[in-house]
Amino acid sequence: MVKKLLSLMLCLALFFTISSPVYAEEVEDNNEYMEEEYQMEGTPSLSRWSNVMSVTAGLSVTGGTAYSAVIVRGYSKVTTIVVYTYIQKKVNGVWTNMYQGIDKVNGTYICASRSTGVSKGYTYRLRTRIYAYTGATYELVTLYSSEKSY
Amino acid sequence: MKFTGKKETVSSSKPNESTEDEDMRMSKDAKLYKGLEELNEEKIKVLMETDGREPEFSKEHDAKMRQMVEERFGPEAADRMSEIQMTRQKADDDEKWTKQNGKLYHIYPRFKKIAAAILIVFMLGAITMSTEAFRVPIVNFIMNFQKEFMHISVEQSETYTEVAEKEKIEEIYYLQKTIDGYELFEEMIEPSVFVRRYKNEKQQEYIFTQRAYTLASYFDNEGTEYESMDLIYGEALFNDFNEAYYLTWFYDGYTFEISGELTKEEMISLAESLVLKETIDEKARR
Repeated sequence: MVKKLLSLMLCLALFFTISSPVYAEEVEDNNEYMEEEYQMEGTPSLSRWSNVMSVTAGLSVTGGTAYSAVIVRGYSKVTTIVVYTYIQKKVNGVWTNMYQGIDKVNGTYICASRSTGVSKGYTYRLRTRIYAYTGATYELVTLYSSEKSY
Repeated sequence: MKFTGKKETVSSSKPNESTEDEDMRMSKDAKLYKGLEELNEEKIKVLMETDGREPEFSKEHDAKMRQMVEERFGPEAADRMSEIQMTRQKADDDEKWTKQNGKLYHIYPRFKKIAAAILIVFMLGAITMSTEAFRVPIVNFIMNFQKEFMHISVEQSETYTEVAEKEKIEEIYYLQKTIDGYELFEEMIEPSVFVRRYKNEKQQEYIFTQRAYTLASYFDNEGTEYESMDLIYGEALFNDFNEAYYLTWFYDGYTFEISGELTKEEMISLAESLVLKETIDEKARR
């Protein structure tokens, strides 16, 4: 009886451990990014995290301003890094782009920082698209920051 | 208790008494002996009824017995009976005391060892608890594994809220040490990030980053090895990539990171040379 109870508790613990991040994964974004895709040159690579070693990214909202930062470190084979920054605002449950910027470097390291004025009573987040090139082939990484209420 | 009622304890004679008195005395003693024998038999009967366990006679019982003997044989006989009972009781008490103390003396050394072991365990527990109590984590590293990547962010511990998490860079921290052969070649100050890059002749690089706590680090979720370690600032995370290592820690409301082609010892040495240099306003004025 005790064994059965322990097994049941273990199953429940595993279920909640596995299921929690799944709920956190839901990302809703209805904006159009055709312009960005038209601008990009080269061939997309199907591999993941083979050009990009690490990304540090986030959004701070303080004193009526939203500050975004995206730091990308690529492996030594990387020739160019392009960072698209989108600061998004949640309006009626829909994420809307309120600011966008593009930063580019010919090298393995980039620090892209942006800022824009924000209104109180809304929730904001950062969306970033990173193109890391090795010659004419690029790897694309898309990330969203945690939401910031202001 | 076995009550024997030995003759020699109840029969005694005085040299100056007459033969008649002596006969009368003998007769009384014989009667007393008989009475005690009856009493003895009664007690043996009680013992048998109690399966050999020692019966405990109440004071009322003893008083009643004394009264019966006194009425039948006189106060002298009653006194003698009490004397015999007391002698017997003392012998029983002595036997019981010896048994009990004998056991205690036997148990005592073992008891000392057990007590010492319990004391040591208690003291170790107390020390461990104290250590735990002093080592209050100031920050929790959150490692979130997702479908295509993992990300590491920091969250201030609920038990430690003395240091405010900072959304912007307000003070600038520097590393006092520089690894031999490396030189600073780039510095970037942004509202939420402060970066210093160092390079050597072989174009190898290490980067020091101070950032607002709101920024998280994202890595590949496959093949990344990480290790938790203790720095003077508290818990730190050490990540191992193919081309570089990352050391991340939290201090004074900021997240700090050193990444590069350095050894773990070099990274720890750099991290522990962290020093507050100036406020962002002072830096801007300069």
